[in-house]
Amino acid sequence: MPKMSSTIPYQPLLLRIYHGVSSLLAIGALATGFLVYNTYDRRFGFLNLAQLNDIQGLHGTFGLFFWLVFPLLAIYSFHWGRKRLLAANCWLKFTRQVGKPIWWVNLQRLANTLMLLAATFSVISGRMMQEAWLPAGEFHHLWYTLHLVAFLIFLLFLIVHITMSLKVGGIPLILSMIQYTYRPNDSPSHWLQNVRQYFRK
Amino acid sequence: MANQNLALKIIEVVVIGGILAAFILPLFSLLNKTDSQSSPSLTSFLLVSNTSISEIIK
Repeated sequence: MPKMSSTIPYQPLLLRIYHGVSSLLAIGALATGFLVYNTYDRRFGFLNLAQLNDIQGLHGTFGLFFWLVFPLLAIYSFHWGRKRLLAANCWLKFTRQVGKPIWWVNLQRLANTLMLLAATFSVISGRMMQEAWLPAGEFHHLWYTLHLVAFLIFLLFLIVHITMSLKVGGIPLILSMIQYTYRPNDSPSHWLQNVRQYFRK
Repeated sequence: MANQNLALKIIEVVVIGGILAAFILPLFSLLNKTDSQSSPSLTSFLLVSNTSISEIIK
């Protein structure tokens, strides 16, 4: 098992902002998405929860804002946050050193990457849904089925993402994503300059 | 390094392409439902992309 660090690691401020906003929106979309299912569908089981008026509208609002923020997180992740995603020769690393700290770190990087794919799938399938379908009892639409599958995949990968983060960095890694202090060289006043430097490389 | 670039590049293309598709695909279905004289505004597209233009005008 990887050795847990007792100190909180530093995460770039921009990553914390994008990650924080999109994770809140995603969790909101997941929760309201379940309530939408629980209100209209219930084919695969249900919970006796209070039925909220216009829960589809609330779910759509979370989804819409997530869709608007998610590109920023994705662009950041694929450029400045690349070292947190799928590693070089990842498939070799998964078959060697099984159970060693580096193996868990690679699994965490895979989990981070899969989160981005799951979010993309959820966004596309959700955008193709129509609000009239569920109140009319039209559960046969392909995009609705895909959106249900996307819900399950997103939930599964979210659990894996959090579990892997806990396994690799423990509570300090989780806490590092919700810190609000930042280093002077990570100040918002340097962001534009950092972007320019990145594109000059 | 080349393997990393390739695998991650493919995933990047899928994700960024998917985000763009999430914008473009509903636009096509919206345009298909649009009356021939009307054209959708960005605001109406963002907020009520799943509603036909004739319903928005009402």
